[in-house]
Amino acid sequence: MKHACRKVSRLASDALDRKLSPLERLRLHFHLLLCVNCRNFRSSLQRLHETFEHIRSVQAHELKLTKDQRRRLLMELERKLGD
Amino acid sequence: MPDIRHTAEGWLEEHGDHLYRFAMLRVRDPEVALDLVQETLLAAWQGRDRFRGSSSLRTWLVGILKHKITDHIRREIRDRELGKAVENDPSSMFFKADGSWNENQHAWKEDPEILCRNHQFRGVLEDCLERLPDKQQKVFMLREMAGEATDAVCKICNITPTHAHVLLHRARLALRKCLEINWLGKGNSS
Ligand SMILES: [Zn+2]
Repeated sequence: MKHACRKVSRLASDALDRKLSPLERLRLHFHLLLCVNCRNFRSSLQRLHETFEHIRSVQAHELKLTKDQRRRLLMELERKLGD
Repeated sequence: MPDIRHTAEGWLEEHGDHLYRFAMLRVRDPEVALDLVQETLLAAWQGRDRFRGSSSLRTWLVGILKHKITDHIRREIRDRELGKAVENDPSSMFFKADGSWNENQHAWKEDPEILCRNHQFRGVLEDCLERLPDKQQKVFMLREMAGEATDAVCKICNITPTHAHVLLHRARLALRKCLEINWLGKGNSS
Protein backbone atom coordinates (compact mmCIF):
# COMPACT_ATOMS: atom_id res chain seq x y z
CA MET A 1 0.00 0.00 0.00
CA LYS A 2 2.86 2.35 0.82
CA HIS A 3 3.69 3.28 -2.73
CA ALA A 4 0.37 5.08 -3.00
CA CYS A 5 0.94 7.73 -0.30
CA ARG A 6 2.09 10.41 -2.72
CA LYS A 7 -1.02 9.96 -4.85
CA VAL A 8 -3.29 9.69 -1.84
CA SER A 9 -1.92 12.94 -0.42
CA ARG A 10 -2.94 14.55 -3.71
CA LEU A 11 -6.44 13.12 -3.43
CA ALA A 12 -6.69 14.36 0.15
CA SER A 13 -5.77 17.83 -1.05
CA ASP A 14 -8.06 17.70 -4.09
CA ALA A 15 -10.96 16.69 -1.87
CA LEU A 16 -10.84 20.18 -0.36
CA ASP A 17 -11.18 21.82 -3.78
CA ARG A 18 -13.34 19.54 -5.91
CA LYS A 19 -15.74 16.62 -5.69
CA LEU A 20 -13.86 13.36 -5.97
CA SER A 21 -15.20 10.65 -8.25
CA PRO A 22 -16.68 7.56 -6.54
CA LEU A 23 -13.60 5.58 -7.53
CA GLU A 24 -11.26 8.23 -6.14
CA ARG A 25 -13.21 8.32 -2.90
CA LEU A 26 -12.96 4.57 -2.63
CA ARG A 27 -9.22 4.61 -3.24
CA LEU A 28 -8.72 7.38 -0.71
CA HIS A 29 -10.75 5.79 2.04
CA PHE A 30 -9.40 2.31 1.47
CA HIS A 31 -5.86 3.62 1.75
CA LEU A 32 -6.69 5.68 4.84
CA LEU A 33 -7.94 2.58 6.58
CA LEU A 34 -4.49 1.05 6.28
CA CYS A 35 -2.14 4.02 6.47
CA VAL A 36 -1.77 6.09 9.63
CA ASN A 37 0.56 8.61 7.98
CA CYS A 38 -1.98 9.50 5.33
CA ARG A 39 -4.74 9.59 7.93
CA ASN A 40 -2.74 12.08 9.96
CA PHE A 41 -1.85 14.07 6.88
CA ARG A 42 -5.45 14.35 5.82
CA SER A 43 -6.71 15.39 9.24
CA SER A 44 -4.00 18.08 9.40
CA LEU A 45 -4.99 19.41 5.99
CA GLN A 46 -8.59 19.57 7.08
CA ARG A 47 -7.65 21.48 10.21
CA LEU A 48 -5.57 23.88 8.17
CA HIS A 49 -8.47 24.36 5.77
CA GLU A 50 -10.85 25.03 8.67
CA THR A 51 -8.35 27.42 10.22
CA PHE A 52 -8.41 29.49 7.04
CA GLU A 53 -12.20 29.54 7.13
CA HIS A 54 -12.04 31.01 10.62
CA ILE A 55 -9.31 33.44 9.64
CA ARG A 56 -11.52 34.73 6.83
CA SER A 57 -14.27 35.53 9.28
CA VAL A 58 -12.05 37.26 11.84
CA GLN A 59 -10.30 39.23 9.13
CA ALA A 60 -13.50 41.01 8.34
CA HIS A 61 -12.79 42.96 11.54
CA GLU A 62 -9.01 43.06 11.36
CA LEU A 63 -8.20 44.29 7.88
CA LYS A 64 -8.92 47.98 7.55
CA LEU A 65 -7.41 51.00 5.87
CA THR A 66 -5.26 53.00 8.25
CA LYS A 67 -5.88 56.73 8.61
CA ASP A 68 -2.67 57.39 6.72
CA GLN A 69 -3.60 55.08 3.84
CA ARG A 70 -7.00 56.72 3.64
CA ARG A 71 -5.46 60.17 3.51
CA ARG A 72 -2.99 59.12 0.80
CA LEU A 73 -5.77 57.59 -1.28
CA LEU A 74 -7.83 60.73 -1.07
CA MET A 75 -4.90 62.95 -2.00
CA GLU A 76 -4.06 60.81 -5.01
CA LEU A 77 -7.66 60.80 -6.18
CA GLU A 78 -7.86 64.54 -5.91
CA ARG A 79 -4.57 64.97 -7.73
CA LYS A 80 -5.60 62.72 -10.59
CA LEU A 81 -9.14 63.95 -10.95
CA GLY A 82 -8.83 67.36 -9.44
CA ASP A 83 -9.32 70.12 -11.92
CA MET B 1 -21.39 67.60 -12.24
CA PRO B 2 -21.06 66.10 -8.77
CA ASP B 3 -18.24 67.29 -6.57
CA ILE B 4 -15.24 64.96 -6.78
CA ARG B 5 -13.98 65.55 -3.32
CA HIS B 6 -17.35 64.88 -1.84
CA THR B 7 -18.02 61.76 -3.90
CA ALA B 8 -14.58 60.17 -3.58
CA GLU B 9 -14.59 60.83 0.12
CA GLY B 10 -18.01 59.33 0.41
CA TRP B 11 -17.01 56.20 -1.49
CA LEU B 12 -13.89 55.82 0.59
CA GLU B 13 -15.84 56.27 3.76
CA GLU B 14 -18.51 53.77 2.77
CA HIS B 15 -16.59 51.15 0.82
CA GLY B 16 -12.86 51.78 1.35
CA ASP B 17 -12.31 49.15 4.01
CA HIS B 18 -14.34 46.58 2.13
CA LEU B 19 -12.43 47.12 -1.12
CA TYR B 20 -9.07 47.16 0.65
CA ARG B 21 -9.84 43.91 2.49
CA PHE B 22 -11.06 42.29 -0.72
CA ALA B 23 -7.79 43.22 -2.44
CA MET B 24 -5.52 42.32 0.50
CA LEU B 25 -6.90 38.81 0.80
CA ARG B 26 -5.97 38.25 -2.84
CA VAL B 27 -2.68 40.08 -3.33
CA ARG B 28 -1.14 40.11 0.20
CA ASP B 29 0.86 43.30 -0.38
CA PRO B 30 -0.61 46.43 1.31
CA GLU B 31 0.94 48.80 -1.26
CA VAL B 32 -0.42 46.79 -4.18
CA ALA B 33 -3.83 46.53 -2.51
CA LEU B 34 -3.89 50.29 -1.98
CA ASP B 35 -2.95 50.92 -5.62
CA LEU B 36 -5.69 48.60 -6.80
CA VAL B 37 -8.27 50.35 -4.65
CA GLN B 38 -7.10 53.68 -5.99
CA GLU B 39 -7.29 52.50 -9.61
CA THR B 40 -10.75 51.13 -8.91
CA LEU B 41 -12.03 54.41 -7.51
CA LEU B 42 -10.48 56.31 -10.42
CA ALA B 43 -12.06 53.99 -12.97
CA ALA B 44 -15.37 54.15 -11.12
CA TRP B 45 -15.30 57.92 -11.10
CA GLN B 46 -14.46 58.08 -14.79
CA GLY B 47 -17.14 55.55 -15.64
CA ARG B 48 -19.74 56.78 -13.15
CA ASP B 49 -22.24 57.38 -15.95
CA ARG B 50 -22.30 53.65 -16.56
CA PHE B 51 -23.43 52.90 -13.03
CA ARG B 52 -27.15 52.37 -13.41
CA GLY B 53 -28.00 51.52 -9.89
CA SER B 54 -29.34 48.12 -10.90
CA SER B 55 -26.80 46.61 -8.53
CA SER B 56 -25.58 48.22 -5.34
CA LEU B 57 -22.72 50.68 -5.60
CA ARG B 58 -20.54 48.31 -3.59
CA THR B 59 -21.19 45.39 -5.95
CA TRP B 60 -20.32 47.63 -8.88
CA LEU B 61 -17.07 48.78 -7.24
CA VAL B 62 -16.09 45.23 -6.31
CA GLY B 63 -16.75 44.18 -9.91
CA ILE B 64 -14.26 46.78 -11.13
CA LEU B 65 -11.75 45.79 -8.45
CA LYS B 66 -12.04 42.11 -9.45
CA HIS B 67 -10.93 42.97 -12.97
CA LYS B 68 -8.01 45.01 -11.66
CA ILE B 69 -6.93 42.14 -9.39
CA THR B 70 -7.16 39.60 -12.22
CA ASP B 71 -5.07 41.83 -14.50
CA HIS B 72 -2.51 42.29 -11.76
CA ILE B 73 -2.18 38.59 -10.93
CA ARG B 74 -1.97 37.52 -14.58
CA ARG B 75 0.65 40.17 -15.28
CA GLU B 76 2.72 39.00 -12.33
CA ILE B 77 2.49 35.35 -13.30
CA ARG B 78 3.48 36.23 -16.86
CA ASP B 79 6.36 38.50 -15.87
CA ARG B 80 7.87 36.06 -13.43
CA GLU B 81 7.58 33.09 -15.72
CA LEU B 82 9.68 34.76 -18.39
CA GLY B 83 13.14 33.27 -18.25
CA LYS B 84 12.16 30.87 -15.52
CA ALA B 85 11.63 27.17 -15.95
CA VAL B 86 8.55 25.44 -14.58
CA GLU B 87 8.47 25.42 -10.80
CA ASN B 88 10.19 22.19 -9.92
CA ASP B 89 8.35 19.33 -8.32
CA PRO B 90 9.09 19.44 -4.59
CA SER B 91 7.54 16.06 -3.84
CA SER B 92 10.94 14.40 -3.39
CA MET B 93 11.18 16.51 -0.23
CA PHE B 94 8.18 14.68 1.15
CA PHE B 95 8.16 11.28 -0.53
CA LYS B 96 10.66 8.54 -1.20
CA ALA B 97 11.17 7.32 -4.74
CA ASP B 98 8.64 4.55 -4.11
CA GLY B 99 5.95 7.11 -3.22
CA SER B 100 5.85 6.48 0.53
CA TRP B 101 6.31 9.30 3.08
CA ASN B 102 9.84 10.42 3.90
CA GLU B 103 8.96 10.84 7.53
CA ASN B 104 6.08 9.97 9.79
CA GLN B 105 3.11 12.32 9.68
CA HIS B 106 1.59 13.55 12.91
CA ALA B 107 -1.99 14.58 13.42
CA TRP B 108 -2.59 18.14 14.53
CA LYS B 109 -4.48 18.51 17.76
CA GLU B 110 -5.07 22.27 17.52
CA ASP B 111 -8.56 23.63 17.44
CA PRO B 112 -8.89 25.83 14.31
CA GLU B 113 -11.24 28.19 16.11
CA ILE B 114 -8.64 28.94 18.77
CA LEU B 115 -5.73 28.87 16.36
CA CYS B 116 -7.18 31.59 14.13
CA ARG B 117 -7.13 34.05 17.05
CA ASN B 118 -3.60 33.21 18.16
CA HIS B 119 -1.38 36.09 17.04
CA GLN B 120 1.80 34.11 17.36
CA PHE B 121 0.40 31.38 15.15
CA ARG B 122 -0.84 33.93 12.63
CA GLY B 123 2.66 35.41 12.46
CA VAL B 124 4.22 32.02 11.77
CA LEU B 125 1.52 31.31 9.19
CA GLU B 126 2.26 34.59 7.39
CA ASP B 127 5.97 33.74 7.28
CA CYS B 128 5.22 30.29 5.93
CA LEU B 129 2.89 31.72 3.25
CA GLU B 130 5.59 34.20 2.29
CA ARG B 131 8.05 31.37 1.66
CA LEU B 132 5.83 29.55 -0.84
CA PRO B 133 6.98 29.72 -4.46
CA ASP B 134 5.24 32.51 -6.32
CA LYS B 135 2.59 30.71 -8.28
CA GLN B 136 1.70 28.36 -5.43
CA GLN B 137 1.33 31.35 -3.15
CA LYS B 138 -0.99 33.17 -5.54
CA VAL B 139 -3.22 30.18 -6.13
CA PHE B 140 -3.27 29.23 -2.47
CA MET B 141 -4.09 32.77 -1.33
CA LEU B 142 -7.02 32.98 -3.71
CA ARG B 143 -8.35 29.60 -2.70
CA GLU B 144 -7.82 29.56 1.08
CA MET B 145 -7.37 33.16 2.16
CA ALA B 146 -9.95 34.71 -0.15
CA GLY B 147 -12.10 31.58 -0.22
CA GLU B 148 -12.60 31.64 -3.99
CA ALA B 149 -13.94 28.47 -5.62
CA THR B 150 -11.41 26.50 -7.66
CA ASP B 151 -12.92 27.46 -11.02
CA ALA B 152 -12.76 31.14 -10.08
CA VAL B 153 -9.09 30.68 -9.11
CA CYS B 154 -8.43 29.09 -12.51
CA LYS B 155 -10.12 31.97 -14.29
CA ILE B 156 -8.19 34.62 -12.40
CA CYS B 157 -4.81 32.91 -12.88
CA ASN B 158 -5.62 31.65 -16.36
CA ILE B 159 -4.63 28.06 -15.57
CA THR B 160 -6.29 24.66 -15.96
CA PRO B 161 -8.04 22.95 -13.02
CA THR B 162 -5.41 20.20 -13.04
CA HIS B 163 -2.65 22.76 -12.75
CA ALA B 164 -4.48 24.46 -9.90
CA HIS B 165 -4.83 21.16 -8.03
CA VAL B 166 -1.14 20.40 -8.47
CA LEU B 167 -0.18 23.83 -7.13
CA LEU B 168 -2.60 23.63 -4.20
CA HIS B 169 -1.32 20.17 -3.28
CA ARG B 170 2.30 21.41 -3.30
CA ALA B 171 1.40 24.51 -1.34
CA ARG B 172 -0.35 22.46 1.34
CA LEU B 173 2.55 20.01 1.65
CA ALA B 174 4.98 22.89 2.06
CA LEU B 175 2.79 24.93 4.36
CA ARG B 176 2.04 22.04 6.63
CA LYS B 177 5.73 21.19 6.87
CA CYS B 178 6.68 24.79 7.57
CA LEU B 179 4.05 25.09 10.30
CA GLU B 180 5.15 21.85 11.86
CA ILE B 181 8.75 23.02 12.10
CA ASN B 182 8.09 26.60 13.16
CA TRP B 183 4.99 26.24 15.25
CA LEU B 184 4.38 22.72 16.52
CA GLY B 185 8.11 22.04 16.70
CA LYS B 186 8.59 25.04 18.98
CA GLY B 187 6.61 23.45 21.77
CA ASN B 188 3.40 25.30 20.95
CA SER B 189 1.48 22.12 20.49
CA SER B 190 -1.44 21.92 22.87
ZN1 LIG C 1 -0.36 6.45 2.93
